[in-house]
Amino acid sequence: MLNIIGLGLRGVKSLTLEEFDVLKNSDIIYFETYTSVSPENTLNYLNIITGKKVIGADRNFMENTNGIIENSSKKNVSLIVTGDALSATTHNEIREEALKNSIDVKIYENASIITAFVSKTGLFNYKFGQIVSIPYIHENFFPLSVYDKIYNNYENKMHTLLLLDLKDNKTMDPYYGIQILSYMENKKNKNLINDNTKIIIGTKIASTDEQIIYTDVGTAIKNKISGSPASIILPSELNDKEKEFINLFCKIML
Amino acid sequence: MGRKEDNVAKAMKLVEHPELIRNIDIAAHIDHGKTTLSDNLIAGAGMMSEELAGKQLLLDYDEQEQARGITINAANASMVHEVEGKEYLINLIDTPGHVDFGGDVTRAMRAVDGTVIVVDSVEGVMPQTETVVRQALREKVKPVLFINKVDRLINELKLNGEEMQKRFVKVISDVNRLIVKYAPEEFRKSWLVNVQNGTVAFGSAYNNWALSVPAMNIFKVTFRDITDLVSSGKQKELAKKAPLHKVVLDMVIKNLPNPAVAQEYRIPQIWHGDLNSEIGKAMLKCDDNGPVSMMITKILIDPHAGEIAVGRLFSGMIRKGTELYVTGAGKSKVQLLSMMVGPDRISIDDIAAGNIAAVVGLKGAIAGSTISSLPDMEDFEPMSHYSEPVVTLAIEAKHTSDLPKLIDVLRSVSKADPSIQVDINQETGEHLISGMGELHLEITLYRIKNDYHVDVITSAPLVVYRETVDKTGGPFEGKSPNKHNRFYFKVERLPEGVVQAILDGKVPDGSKIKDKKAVMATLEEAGLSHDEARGLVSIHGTNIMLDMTKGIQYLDETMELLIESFNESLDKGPLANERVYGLKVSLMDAKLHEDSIHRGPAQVIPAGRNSIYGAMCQAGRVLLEPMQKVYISVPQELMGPVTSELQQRRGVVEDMQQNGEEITVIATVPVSGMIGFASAIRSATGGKAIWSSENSGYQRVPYELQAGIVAKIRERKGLKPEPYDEAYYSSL
Repeated sequence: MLNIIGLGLRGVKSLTLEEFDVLKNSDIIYFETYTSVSPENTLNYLNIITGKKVIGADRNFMENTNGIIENSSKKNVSLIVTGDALSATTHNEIREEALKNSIDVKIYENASIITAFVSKTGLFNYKFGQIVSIPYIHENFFPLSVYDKIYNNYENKMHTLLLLDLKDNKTMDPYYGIQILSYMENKKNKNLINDNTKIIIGTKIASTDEQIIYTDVGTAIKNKISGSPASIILPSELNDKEKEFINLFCKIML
Repeated sequence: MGRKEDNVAKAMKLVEHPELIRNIDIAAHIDHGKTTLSDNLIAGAGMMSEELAGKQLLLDYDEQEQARGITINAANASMVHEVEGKEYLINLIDTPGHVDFGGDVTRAMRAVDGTVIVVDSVEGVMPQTETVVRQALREKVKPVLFINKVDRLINELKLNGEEMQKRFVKVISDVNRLIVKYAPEEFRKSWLVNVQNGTVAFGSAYNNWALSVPAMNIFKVTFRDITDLVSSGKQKELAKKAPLHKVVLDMVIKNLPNPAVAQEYRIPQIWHGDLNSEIGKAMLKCDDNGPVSMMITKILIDPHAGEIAVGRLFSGMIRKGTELYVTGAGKSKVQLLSMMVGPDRISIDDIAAGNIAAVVGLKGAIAGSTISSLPDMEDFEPMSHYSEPVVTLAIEAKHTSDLPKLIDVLRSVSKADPSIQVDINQETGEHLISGMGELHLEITLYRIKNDYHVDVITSAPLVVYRETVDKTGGPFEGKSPNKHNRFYFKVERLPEGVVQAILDGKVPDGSKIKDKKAVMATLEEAGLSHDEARGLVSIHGTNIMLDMTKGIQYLDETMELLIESFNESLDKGPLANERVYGLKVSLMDAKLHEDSIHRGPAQVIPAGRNSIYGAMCQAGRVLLEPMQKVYISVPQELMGPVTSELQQRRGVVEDMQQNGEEITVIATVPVSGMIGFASAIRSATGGKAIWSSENSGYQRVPYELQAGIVAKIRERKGLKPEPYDEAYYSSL
């Protein structure tokens, strides 16, 4: 038996009652720390509330799923995932693998940054296009498809949610992600990203230090806007209601 | 004023007259007498005493060279010679004959316009003769022929005049066969050597006499006279009648081109910039007044002056204090300028186009650097000497305090000798130094200890192996660690013709290919199919990566990472982490994650490697070992010990040639068997064996030995003895 459990955005505090029950009845509990960042000390709190030794699952662990699958075929195993249960491809792959091995899989949904951040800005959910990640670039890795996708969304009057690459269990600093976009602009020269391009930066969403800032590229880079976890939105054309909401819900920094 | 100083003064007057200059080198198989010839030419021209010539080996000025009786560095000397009342300046480069130093020969060819090919009349044309002729002709360097050691034909082989002439005909036709084979189209006929027009001379460099057919007429000497004088021990008389330097230098001046003539056809070959530009025109005309263009062919390390860059000045004038641009290293100022006269460097104030100059002050210059007064001169074509090291050893500083110094010294050693490859490992402090043979490394270590004064500890020399495959393997699915990306590579051996084209430098290394169309055409001609050639992505060592896919989304932005993966995988093969040789690696299909974050370096590089390694497992992995051709001349009665020595070293005797009392054994021996050969053969034959060797490519390690050798290499590298198998790479 494999339970894939969405933890939500508030650590153990956003665990549902049903999920809590499942964890109490689990023989083995894994807590995935590779695809996203959860509030500090979450692993400790999980140990305390379940009374069990929760196993941290890092990248290496998640890329070698043999152990988790084998255990699930004999025991009641839970895999805790920050945010929603299945937003990352990796988790659906584990689900696929389990099903192929005739293991029962149960999914427990929860809140995700993908909806939470977007809704909190006041932007309309249905006006979003393809989600795009900004990766750390490398001498031999400078994927301009990132830019193409954002541009495509923008051209079609759709907002873009930008997810930031992770390193050492922290997301990339938002200003650095924006800098990468402007490097890409230098290659593409389509005048999508310039100092005045408006963006919304969300950091530590759902925590007490949550910040949602409406700003522009120049200001974000100049002020080195940082913080983890973080995401960015590059809005396309705003309707009147969205403009009103942004003024009210976001911190304006221009 | 001594003759030497006198000559320097004369030389200075000639440097600005290209029509009175000849840049030449002397090239031959080892022990055919290059250095003796060079010395006697210099002595004859008055640069050293005639008594010492031939004994002192002036150009072998390195202590090691004199001790070992071989030339290690390409040394330069300039001399003045008079023909028909006119004085000429001859810039001569003596190049090493030992196979371990072949890179020096290639580089020297760039600096000269003509070459004197020396062939030992007793041994005839040898494999290295072919190598040097090929190197010369590839650089459009015109050859003349000197048949050496003729006294041995008479005194040892007891040949009469007629038999002697037959020998000459054989040598000449063998050399001409090589010229036909390698000469550029336009010179295939006109560059053939022949006795009538004076492009062939013969004689004894050691005994200081030479003749040619035109010279025989002038000096009124017949073949009969030659045999009589030589056999009656009157070679000194012959040397008076027909002095070596006169005959050979006359031949050089009359038959080899001056720089202005040569540059007109050589520049388009060695420089691919715009020939109608100012600098292009200046080089074609060897013009003093044009911008400076120079190519460095050698870096000498001098304890006092530091790095001295020696090279050929193709256009312009260099003066002390001139500011020049060095390829990729910015601007520097010329501090000292000199010409080389044997071991002496004569300081000069300026030097003009068409000469070989030695310059101090060019920061960052290495052999192959382009030097110009223009900041953006198109580089000269690289001098392609494909010399992969075959022997390596680990080197450490004896005293930890010398550690930083050793790193500097290793870097400077590999700069001075581009055939030395250095792998510096800052973490362990154990560095690897690799070279063309045991001797090459010995000499280099000697220099590190004696010239740079660093005490070192070294491991025993180790052979550098290669890996390749037997059949075709793949397409093999290689997955990224996150399983979201999959690559499907197919591998097989490259056609021999393609490997040869790479070795000959017809195909550039890397993925940034300037004229891709031309390279594709070359590859197609060499044996790839049209579609394969069109799929060319990158060339690494003797291996080629092809992209045979069509229209896969995001593959373009992933290709650089795949090239990185290809390079890494082929630098460390799956069998023993040795370099891979002659492999065609074709990408047949790829599956990539939509989102770039899931296909970064940490995902793509291992995925490509798993696919290439897996495909190599399927294709049957093969270990290759470097081989040497060994030529051993011994008195007949010592044949037994020689062949048994060879057999113990897995050598295969291929041929035996008899010359009078002496027999030459030609054998192929693995380099692993050659370690320690020098002293073994000396003691087996009481020092009576004369031997030489040349690298002759790679051969498959015998099947029954492969697993054992692989396990040994792997253990040495701290790997588990058994290589991973196909199942392992598909489980990753």
